[in-house]
Amino acid sequence: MGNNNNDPGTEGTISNYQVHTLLFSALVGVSVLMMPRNIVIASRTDSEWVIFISGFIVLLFVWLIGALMKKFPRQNIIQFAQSMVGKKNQRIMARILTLPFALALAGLWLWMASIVTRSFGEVLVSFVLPQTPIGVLMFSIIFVAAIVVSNPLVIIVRMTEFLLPFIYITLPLLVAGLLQEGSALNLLPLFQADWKEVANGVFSSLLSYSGFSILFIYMAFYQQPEKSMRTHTITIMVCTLFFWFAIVTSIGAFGSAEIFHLLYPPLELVKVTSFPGQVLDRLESLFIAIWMLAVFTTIILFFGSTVEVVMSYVPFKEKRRGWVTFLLAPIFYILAQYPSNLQELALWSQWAGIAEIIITLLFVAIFFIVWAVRERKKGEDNATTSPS
Amino acid sequence: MRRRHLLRMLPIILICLTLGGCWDSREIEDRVSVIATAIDEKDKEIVLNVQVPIPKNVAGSGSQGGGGGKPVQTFTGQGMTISDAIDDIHYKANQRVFFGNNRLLIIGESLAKRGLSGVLDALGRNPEFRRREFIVVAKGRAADFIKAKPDLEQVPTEYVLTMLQNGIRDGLYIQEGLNDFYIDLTNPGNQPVLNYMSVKGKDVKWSGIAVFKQTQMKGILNRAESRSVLQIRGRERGEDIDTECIEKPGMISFRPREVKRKVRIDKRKGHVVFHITLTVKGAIIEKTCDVNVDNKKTLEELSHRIASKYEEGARQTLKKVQGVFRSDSYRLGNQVRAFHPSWWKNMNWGDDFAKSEISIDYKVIILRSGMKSG
Repeated sequence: MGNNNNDPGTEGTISNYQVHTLLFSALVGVSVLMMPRNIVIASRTDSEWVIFISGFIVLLFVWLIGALMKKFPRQNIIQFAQSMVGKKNQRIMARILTLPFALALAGLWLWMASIVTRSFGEVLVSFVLPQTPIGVLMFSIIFVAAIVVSNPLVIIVRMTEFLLPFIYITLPLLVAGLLQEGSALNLLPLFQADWKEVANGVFSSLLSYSGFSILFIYMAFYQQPEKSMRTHTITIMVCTLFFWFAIVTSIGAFGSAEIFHLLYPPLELVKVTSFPGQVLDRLESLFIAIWMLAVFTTIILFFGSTVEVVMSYVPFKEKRRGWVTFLLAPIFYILAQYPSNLQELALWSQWAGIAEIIITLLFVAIFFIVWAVRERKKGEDNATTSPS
Repeated sequence: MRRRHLLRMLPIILICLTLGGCWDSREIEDRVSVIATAIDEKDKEIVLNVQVPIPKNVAGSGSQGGGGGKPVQTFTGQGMTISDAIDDIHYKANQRVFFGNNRLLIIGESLAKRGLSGVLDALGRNPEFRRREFIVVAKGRAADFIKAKPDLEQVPTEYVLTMLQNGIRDGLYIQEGLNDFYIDLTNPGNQPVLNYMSVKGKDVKWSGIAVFKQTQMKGILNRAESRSVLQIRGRERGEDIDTECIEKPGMISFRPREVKRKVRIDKRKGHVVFHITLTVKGAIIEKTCDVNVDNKKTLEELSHRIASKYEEGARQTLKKVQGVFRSDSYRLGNQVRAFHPSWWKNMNWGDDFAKSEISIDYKVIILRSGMKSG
């Protein structure tokens, strides 16, 4: 399919550990800062276990994507959609039929990237850089992201591999805050929420996991797609633990009632933390600096998959990737500028989360059906050929 | 070729990108760094007094050593709201007033009695104010604290701060900073209390705790009264206690070292019943009467005496807290919320606290009696 990325050798592919860093970096981002508040509003102290339900549901989604992608090794969703539609002489037909898929995915990921960028811009402006115009902040983020994304996808994934360890530095900061301000009584009572509150909590935290759908693209580069299930499962578990940790430290330190009033509980927690002797006085700056990396990896992964969709749909030559990226960047920037305030942004990210779940389920269903029909046809045509 | 071109430009571009933060760049010497803020009310307006150290005049900070000048400068601002008053100060200062290093908030008594909701909202929204600050209620005007001049420290705020830190570490003052205050406000099972301090000339004195019901100050508990609140609320040890000797004239002083708290919660006729048992371990530090404290039986009797003295004080405080202030300064409601959520759902703790039955029992264990025997 004209894309010279998918050579079958190990060069230019994603190792198992990189699969972990990639998925983790996609899910853990700016949402960790806001998620404790959203879930606590919905199901209060019961969030401490409700988060595991949503983790399990996300695991199911990832399993579905993995199951589908395994049927088409070394092909991303756009490529196999086009190959499904027909033979070589029906290329135009294939283009037309796959256009909605390409548009939906490229649009979704660009939209999600813009929401993440804007959300983090808002954090920066309200916590550390109140005088700086948010447009400048977002411009720098998008510009640097575009430079990274101009490289092949595998480079982006390597970048996440490199940056991931830094994200773990934030964990001790949260623990320190919990130890200083926390109280076990705040974590109680458990199992008081009715099913409706639990459902709300699951729903709101599910949206914080947004980003898993990029596997539609990245799984095409896996070295060992057959082993990916295990890595995905472990990664989702690690992410869920990370989210759980953010929730528990926030509730433990502030109590569920106070979290209602805090826009970014984990950040606020780091803000009350102090090291003895007044060293490292303003820890939140350090935290935000590290978190910048977490957010940046999320952005480049989303933006990278958008570019990849365009690259495989058209398909452009590999050296045109930079052009595509820098053509998309202004759209990215405009989308990020669009929400007029935080409330609208929150609505957007909610819609984006819902859209991602719907698109994932819909696409998996459609392609499975098409695949099954084709397999049957193949079986009828040629009884000796077994499906791969 | 194009690639290499971009590569050569990359450092320039990256340097330019970091300039984005320059909107917020303020060198540390270009700031007026506030270390203490006093908030008062005057004719329904907010009066803000802030204390700013003058680095040049604070000894030890520069090679010149403390000059003859004043170590601090005070700015005053007035306005309808906190931000209004801060703006007022902005217009009086030559550089931007920065509250990021503020460590002490002093609230005037009359403002506290009127309610702090406006103040707390302003502080919560402003990213410069941290939740780590100390917050105290001043007897009379908060501005007097800013103007107090203790001799021991050059910067008056430093004096008050070390006083607070040491008092909290020794378990004598209540441990309640701005963050705890916020949390107690939102948690319906808790009510905030703050340290209550007074200033007279050069003397700064801790004079008890200010009891709040939500954002409104209801009254104060003096030093002796606050003892049991300190012990039940925060398991802090509280100050030393004096009691009369057995049969013979004279006094005995007991210094608590460790307090253990046990709360049993029951329900009777729709009211919550708390049985609080406090185990206080400590030492005898002084005696002015003629009893032998090496005797096991005497020691036991003495510990009973100390316990009943504690209980008497605790009961009086309880009466005041439950009957007059009607505010759960003991943080007992939080235990009901955590351990008996089904009761909690049908309760309105703001009213139900006053109706609940609370019994406080003390158990005193005398560990030692100083370096003297007999």
